[in-house]
Amino acid sequence: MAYGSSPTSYGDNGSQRIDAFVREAEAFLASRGGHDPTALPALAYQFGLSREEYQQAVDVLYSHPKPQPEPPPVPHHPVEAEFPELLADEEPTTAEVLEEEPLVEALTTAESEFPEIRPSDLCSFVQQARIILSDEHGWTERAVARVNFVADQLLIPHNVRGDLFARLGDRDFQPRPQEDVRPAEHLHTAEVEPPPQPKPKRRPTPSKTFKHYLRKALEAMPAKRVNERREMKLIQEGTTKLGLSEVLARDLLLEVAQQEGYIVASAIEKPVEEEEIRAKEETITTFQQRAATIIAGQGGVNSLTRIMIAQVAEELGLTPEQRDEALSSIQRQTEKNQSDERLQHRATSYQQFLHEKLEHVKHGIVIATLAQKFVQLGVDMHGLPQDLAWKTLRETLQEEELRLITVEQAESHINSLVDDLMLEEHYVSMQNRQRLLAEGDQWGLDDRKCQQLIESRILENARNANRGQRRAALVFGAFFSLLLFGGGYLIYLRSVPPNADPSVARSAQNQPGNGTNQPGLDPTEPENKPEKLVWTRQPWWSESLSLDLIQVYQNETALQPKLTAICTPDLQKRIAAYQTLLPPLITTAVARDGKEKEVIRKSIMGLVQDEPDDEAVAVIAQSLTDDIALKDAPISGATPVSQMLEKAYEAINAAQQPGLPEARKLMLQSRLEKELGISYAGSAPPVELTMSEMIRDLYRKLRDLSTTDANTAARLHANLSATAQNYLPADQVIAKDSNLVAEIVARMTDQWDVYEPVVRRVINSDKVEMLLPILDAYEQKLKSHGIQEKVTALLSRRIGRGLDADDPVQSAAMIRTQLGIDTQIARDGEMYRTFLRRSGSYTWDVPDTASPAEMAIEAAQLGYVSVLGHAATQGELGQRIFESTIQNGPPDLELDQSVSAGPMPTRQAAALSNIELLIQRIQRATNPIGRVDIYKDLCSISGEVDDIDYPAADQLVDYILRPKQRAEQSQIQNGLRAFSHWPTVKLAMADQIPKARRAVDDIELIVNSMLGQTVPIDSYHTARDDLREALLKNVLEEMGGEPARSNMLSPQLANDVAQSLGDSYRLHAQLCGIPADQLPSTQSPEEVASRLIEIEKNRLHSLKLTDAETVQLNDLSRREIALDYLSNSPISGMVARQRIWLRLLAMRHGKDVPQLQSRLQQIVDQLDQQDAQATSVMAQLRSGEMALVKFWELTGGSA
Amino acid sequence: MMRKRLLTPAMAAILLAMLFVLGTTSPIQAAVVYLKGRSEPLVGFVEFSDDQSITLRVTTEKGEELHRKFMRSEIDLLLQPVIPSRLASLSPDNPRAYREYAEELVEMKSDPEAVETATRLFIIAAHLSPKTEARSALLGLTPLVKDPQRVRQLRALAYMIDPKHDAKLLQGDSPSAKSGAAVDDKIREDTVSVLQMVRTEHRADAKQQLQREEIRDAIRSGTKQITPEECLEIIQGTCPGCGQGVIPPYMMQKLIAAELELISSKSPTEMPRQWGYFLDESFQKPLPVLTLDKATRFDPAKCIFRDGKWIEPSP
Repeated sequence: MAYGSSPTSYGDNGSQRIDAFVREAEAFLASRGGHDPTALPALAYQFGLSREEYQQAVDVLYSHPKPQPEPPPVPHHPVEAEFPELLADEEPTTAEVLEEEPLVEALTTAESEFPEIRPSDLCSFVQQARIILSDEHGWTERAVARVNFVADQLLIPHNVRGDLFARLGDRDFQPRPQEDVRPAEHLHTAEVEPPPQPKPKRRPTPSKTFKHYLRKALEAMPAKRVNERREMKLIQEGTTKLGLSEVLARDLLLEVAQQEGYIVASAIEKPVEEEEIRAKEETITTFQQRAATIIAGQGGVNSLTRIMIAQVAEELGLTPEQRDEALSSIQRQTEKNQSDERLQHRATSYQQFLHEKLEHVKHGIVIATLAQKFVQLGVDMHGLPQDLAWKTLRETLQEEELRLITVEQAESHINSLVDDLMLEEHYVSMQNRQRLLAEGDQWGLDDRKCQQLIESRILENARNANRGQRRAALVFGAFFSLLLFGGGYLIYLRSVPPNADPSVARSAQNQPGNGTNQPGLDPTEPENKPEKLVWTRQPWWSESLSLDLIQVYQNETALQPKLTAICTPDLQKRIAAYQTLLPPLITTAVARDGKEKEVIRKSIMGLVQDEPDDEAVAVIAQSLTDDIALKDAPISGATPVSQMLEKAYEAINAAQQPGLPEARKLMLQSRLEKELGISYAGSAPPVELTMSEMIRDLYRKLRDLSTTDANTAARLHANLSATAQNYLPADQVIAKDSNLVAEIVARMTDQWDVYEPVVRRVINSDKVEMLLPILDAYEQKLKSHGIQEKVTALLSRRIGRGLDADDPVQSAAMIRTQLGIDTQIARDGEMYRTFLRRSGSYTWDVPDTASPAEMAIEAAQLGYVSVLGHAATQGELGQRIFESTIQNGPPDLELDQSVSAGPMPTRQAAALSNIELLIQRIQRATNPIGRVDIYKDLCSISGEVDDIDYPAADQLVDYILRPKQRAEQSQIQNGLRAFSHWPTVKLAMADQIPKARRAVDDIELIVNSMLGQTVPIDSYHTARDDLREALLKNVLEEMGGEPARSNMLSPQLANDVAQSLGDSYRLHAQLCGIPADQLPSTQSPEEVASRLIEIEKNRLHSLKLTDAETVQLNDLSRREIALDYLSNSPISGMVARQRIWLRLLAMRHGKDVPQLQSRLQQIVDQLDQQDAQATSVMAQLRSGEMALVKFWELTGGSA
Repeated sequence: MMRKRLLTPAMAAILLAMLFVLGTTSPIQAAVVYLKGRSEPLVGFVEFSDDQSITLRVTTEKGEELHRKFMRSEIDLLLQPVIPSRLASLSPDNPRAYREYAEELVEMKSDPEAVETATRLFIIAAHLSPKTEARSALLGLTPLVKDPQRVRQLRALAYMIDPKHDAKLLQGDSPSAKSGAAVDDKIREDTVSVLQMVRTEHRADAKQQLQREEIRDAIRSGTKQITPEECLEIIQGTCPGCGQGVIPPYMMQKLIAAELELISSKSPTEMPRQWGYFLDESFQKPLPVLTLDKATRFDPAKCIFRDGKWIEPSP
């Protein structure tokens, strides 16, 4: 080279020569457009520059801005904005300022890593150098020489050559000749003209930038030592501003420091300890070598090896810790070298970073471009090789259960969707196009690419369709020609009748759709053909729904046609398809288990979520909620219990799925609320509430059934119990089983084989209190002796002792003792169970033939059960009343058989006639003896009639009170008791006493004899009034015992029922906190009920009521007034009070437990329904007590 | 008088319009026919009608159906108050129109269809607008109801539903006794005698005595067990379960208890109202349900008349 051999030395004139060269070179370059720097070496030679001087000149030439024209303003570089704090550090030292400036510089010139080299030169150099390296097969001596030659030719400064040569191996390093690096005039014009669209340039990697920054920072440091504080600061620059991982930043610092000859304090040991460490390292190395030899010699680590290694360690003076460390180091070395370890650390850091980023990915897929970005981050920010970054990413994706989608897969997916749309609709609507773009976006394709794909696919489809149409036209043409020819031939054949085959003509005429028979109907017309549906993914199916439906489609071949039917954009067809699909789908879900069941459930939930039309969702909701409750219908073998439960389960789960629009959620929930009579307003989890209420209702139905058909109930219970375990926790199911088993076992006579597992499960339950109900039933002897023996056997196995089936009381006591069942613990539950067993015998319905008397008796009995229910809900507080009520037993009321409907019996009528005759004869008789005889006859038949008319009674009393001889008086005195059951006689006597012409003593004697008691006389003057009062009181007291005139219900029975209900309501009042001494037994039931109403009102007033509740309470008060106004008897008054009390109770409990509100309202509504249908007030009285029993059943169960 | 009221120009116009319709396509309708020279109308269903004559299907007391043809010249007045077209014009948006039409129909008690339709329209009006129409409609319905308990039911409903909750609607039945005031001994004895007369079926005497103001006052102030009105009801046989010569147990109990209270020197005791006294059929009737839909046999939700049927409005 000319300048290399310049004879002129680099002296004082050197700078002048350089300046002269620079001026000439600038002029030269300006005149040549800056595109031909190859002449510069020759020019340098002309100016007599040495190699060094030439280098300096080139530096000046390319680094100094030209004075003319003015340089364009330096554009604001975004990187500066990214690191503002870099320039605004707090009170930086000079060194810090220096160490920061280069980073800013490096970053501001980041568009080019080698600003000293012109881009075109750089590009040319890289291309040529790579060709050289390729020719020379790497960095051989010859290659280095050739590359350096090229670099010389292109005036590439020496100080950048190292970096530049290192970058040659990086395939990503692809410098391009920049078009915007133009001569000065071009730059100048850039001020007025909009800059051309900049081409994307590859920015230096953060690692590279950081290294560059580190070099500059280290150069600016006054000493060749990096202390720990500075080290931390430098690393922090890399992590916070360039996003490098800490591990990588530290590695890079160490690397640069080593390259530049700097010492990093943390990387060196203290000099004092250095020798010791070195000695220790040597000792350990010796130990490791010997240990490795021993292990190799022994063929592995065994006890002998360990002893030998321990001896060596002792010999070398190693502590046990050092020995173990050294040994583990051997192990590590066999696995990885030191470098691998570092990489591993980086990979771990990278993996952690990936986990953080990927956990937010919701669609289950990671697109290829995103993966590429992640890998690039791994390379750039974590310093990992690309293959290790990929490997780490794949492992992380697997751990996060994400799928990596390649661009090809995404394109294929979009293409298939376009194909489907073209097949179905023959075009892609704007709406579908938007959906496709959205889908493409989800799969990682940008809009432009996706649009291209769609267009090209549509075009291809159109071409295929045209080809298909042409092919079809050809085929059709050929077929038509054939048809014409055939038709002509047929006509020709017909024109020759003697030889024609008649069957041909017949068959032609009999062809269905023959034009002569059905004009205008051509089944071959394409318009009449139903659209052929194809099983294909619908645009609105999400990824997860698609996968679930595909799985269902593959699993359930029988459902494939029905599943295919939903693959239509036509809403009405889709609705019809749902209606057809869902019932068998539910049936299939019931029949399946595990993953197959789960995928069906997920599919239904997905349809509710993804279905675009609310109308279709309403149909799904209807299919899921129709017939899920039996309501008033009894349970039977035909009841599809499993399907009911599954439907409700899927409905409530669909409603609860996250992200479901609120309207759809409400739609499903309101349907469930309506069907099941529950409310989701409370805090109970909806799924648990739904299933619990449904199953509870089914158990109630079974309990009702068990009273009439225990064997069927047993069979159904076995099925229900098994099914219920799919929806409720096992302990809840067994708690329900526990009660029902007792009911059924007590009555069943058959079906033991089917029912035995349920009974066994209850008896073998871990919770011993579950045995209590069945023990109670067992103790009272089961209906079937065979069942009794079977249950005895199970119980015997449970306690491991023999039991006597014929002595259930003794056996039950033995079991209780053996199992240590504390009755006190289970008292509340026991009370409730006992109440349920009693209430289970009653239902709302009463036979049409039931008489008012029978209903009155049932009302009293239900009143008794109601007290048990009320006491059971009070728990311990109600225990005393519960026990005493149980002890007293139910009211013992029987129908009065003596009361018969219809007219008075003939015999009684005849007797009455005789009595009236005899009374008349007494009046007429003049002979005392004859009167006494007649009187005796009268006494003898007086018992044949209940009463006599007032005129006859008046005549008889007139005779009795008439003054007469003592003998006659004493004779009739003895017979007076015979008329004591005739109230009218006593009334007549009371009427006559004031004016009777007899001594008071005589009258007193007569009245005492008549009443069979001694009437107390206060004074002689008031004696007549006292006796009169006594008679009237006696009549009044005995009036209730009269037989019924209406012949419907005996007064005695009615009074007994009133007394029984009064007793029950007094107990209710005690349970509500009224002391027993404030509840006199003379109070009628309606009076006690009024007090209960007052208590309940006060309780409600003491609560914080909403406006609506206040209105409701006021309405109830008005209802009470109105019902009182309508009541025309104490019986109807009681009926009115029952209803008010129930409504108040329901209101308070509904406020306490909102989820019971709808069920409480059901009871009130049911009572209204019963009242509307009732034919008598006694029927209403019974219904009122029944409603209260139902109320305690509901609230007691929830308590 | 009624006939005069019905012959208003408006009514005549309606009838003419109805007759015109009848001659064409009207379905069978109930009609009340006043024949010339007869005071009692004939009630039946129009089977045929033209300009000259009309054929009426009449149900006899024995339940037999007869077809009777009348020349129009024989007819003094033909009433067909229930007009389907007018029913069809009623809209839930105007509940008042239901009540007003029902009030027109109430006047025609002789026409069973009018009574039935009026009942339905009243209950629909109350249902459609409880706040504004319930009171008028329910009270307007009472003249059509014969059973006193049902009348009370309607009044109780009106009290409950009407926003004013007027307690006066429930008055007239509760006894207004003012027990405790001193009663002259002579009057007291006379009063006891009156009660005995009632009890012993000396009703004429008892009724005469009850016209004395001092006796009625003595009953009111001397006892809480019975009122003078109730005594009169027993005499007249109008109380529940009462009849000619029949005193139901609950009333007998009241009479005896009142007598006892009047003669007793001790403080009056509360008379237990034993259930056994209230077993008469009149007491065994069920307590009415206080809801509009149970007040009559008609479902008030079916408030639109279309094609001869009452239907519920579409939601």
